[in-house]
Amino acid sequence: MKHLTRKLLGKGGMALVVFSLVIGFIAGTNTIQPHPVAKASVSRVSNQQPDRDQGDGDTHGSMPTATPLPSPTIGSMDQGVLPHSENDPHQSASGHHHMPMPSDATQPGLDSGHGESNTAMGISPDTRTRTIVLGSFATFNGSMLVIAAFLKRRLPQRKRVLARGKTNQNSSEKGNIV
Amino acid sequence: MSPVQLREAVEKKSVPPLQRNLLHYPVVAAVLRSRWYPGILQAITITFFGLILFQLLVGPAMAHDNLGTALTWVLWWPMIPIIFLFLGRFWCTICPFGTISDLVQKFVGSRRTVPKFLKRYGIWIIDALFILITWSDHVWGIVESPWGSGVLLLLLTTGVIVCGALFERRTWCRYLCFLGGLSGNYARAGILQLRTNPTICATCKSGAACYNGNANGPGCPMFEFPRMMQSSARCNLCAACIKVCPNGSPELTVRMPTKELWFISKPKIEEAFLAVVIMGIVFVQNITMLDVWKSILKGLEHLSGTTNYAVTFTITFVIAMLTPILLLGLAALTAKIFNHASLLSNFARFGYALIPLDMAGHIAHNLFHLLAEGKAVFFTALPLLGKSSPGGSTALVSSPIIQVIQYTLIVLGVIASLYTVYRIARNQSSQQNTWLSFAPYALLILVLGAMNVFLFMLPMAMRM
Repeated sequence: MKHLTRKLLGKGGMALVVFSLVIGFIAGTNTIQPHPVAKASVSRVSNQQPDRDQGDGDTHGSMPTATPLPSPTIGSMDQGVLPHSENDPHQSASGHHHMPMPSDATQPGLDSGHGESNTAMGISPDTRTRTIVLGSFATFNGSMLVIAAFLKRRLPQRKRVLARGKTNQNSSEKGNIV
Repeated sequence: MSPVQLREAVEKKSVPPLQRNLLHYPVVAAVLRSRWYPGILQAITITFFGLILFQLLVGPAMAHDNLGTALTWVLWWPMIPIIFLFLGRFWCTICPFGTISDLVQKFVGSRRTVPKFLKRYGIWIIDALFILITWSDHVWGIVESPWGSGVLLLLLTTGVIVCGALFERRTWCRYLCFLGGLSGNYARAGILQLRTNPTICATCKSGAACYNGNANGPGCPMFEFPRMMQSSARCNLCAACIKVCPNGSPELTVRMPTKELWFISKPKIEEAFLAVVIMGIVFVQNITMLDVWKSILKGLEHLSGTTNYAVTFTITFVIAMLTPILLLGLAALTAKIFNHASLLSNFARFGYALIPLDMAGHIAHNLFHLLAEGKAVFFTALPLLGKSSPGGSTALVSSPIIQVIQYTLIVLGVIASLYTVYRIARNQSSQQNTWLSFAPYALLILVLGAMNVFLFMLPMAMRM
């Protein structure tokens, strides 16, 4: 019976672990809003547009916020229209710019420069979802630790010696490769 | 003076400085033999890990305001390949996931034997996980979403806890960690190696203490038997074997980068596969950060008839993965004519030669993030200390300097890969066939190098 319990816990436990990981992965990733068109095309590339100088004296901005917006809380962190100096370290050899566009989280709906509106496309889940996901992880991992502690208590004495991580030099295990 | 100290003193005088056992230097030996190593470093990294996890899960929602994102994707991720090059898998020793595994194991671990399927297919699982995580990042925007990054870390933590609770030693690190394949491959090309002295080991009567452990500590956590170890791919430099060996056999030496790749006795197709896939991943990472990506995407949408990003990206992803695989396959097929080895053998053996170029491309790509966005770490940390961020540019150096470094790295990577191919061909073929075996792979490396240079010429977007 003991043997059977251990075996079931072992294989069933593993199956549970794999299942939970898959569910956790799906649940976890589903709480991240998928990027509807293209994460890269919207947030990685177009966010650079307003500040990119093509070297012809014109700006080639394509961001919705064409006019400078005040950013009272961030101070000097602009919305993507901060003028840059001649020796701007973000200016590449080809005249392009790589200026990051920090957001202003205090202004709902304000374009962050990442091509994402803070309200239109929330990249952070609501409190309920957050609580559920974090709670699931905590419950699962906590249960896992409890099960593991239970399994360890049921290990025979000989294996428990080995489970301490050091070979007992006085035991018959000496010299055996585990 | 003990026999070990005497031997060290004699060797110290007779061996040239670069080939000298670093353990003969008192400071290095004291650090590695100290009972505080690696514990104290693990304590530091796990503290930072806690901070990062907290920031990612409950900190600012936007990536560019989040210290967790900055520390993870601007500092840690770009530094990782550089660490692997200079210190091998040292990071794995102080990695917070490894520490969590150790702690769980210490308190509740039942230390079961690793299942056979993990031993057999571990590297394939690692390959698949690495590809899956890269794909997920692009489709769900994990890097750009602190919450996404946090969930990823939680998932990994869960896997680590499960492995630590059920299985012996560092099962997760050896058989499942998505970074394990990458770190293993890069550590092979790295400049540090830990090996044992075969003469000393031949007379060892300690009962394989380096594997089993003894009163001084546990044995190798990575399931390696240091006495037989011929590769740095799975050595974490945790110094466990150094501490438990009663004969002072382990030696830590500096070697020529890529040297291990020249003499791989049992090449594995899965490791070569990962080396080629990483090349594809570097291409994907570069392409999706370029301006031209928008037009490529439009073309793909037109071609596939869907605007679903998951579909269009997957097409790009598969093409980028398959291109280097097919090119290497083609080179292997051509070389087969001259060296008469099988296609798979050629693929596996010469696949390792791409590792230096992989590493160069990987470092070059990430160097952009590190050097062009490095100040983001300070900018995002300041609000936590109650100070406002000064704002402005996040760059540490100018773009032209970054580009020069990137090109230099690619050139170095190409040279190292070419030389590795040459050495592998020389070991495998007869005198007259060496150059004929070398030629198709050399062409492949030059093509891949040129593709890398072309991609780095184009302006790239940032992570934060």
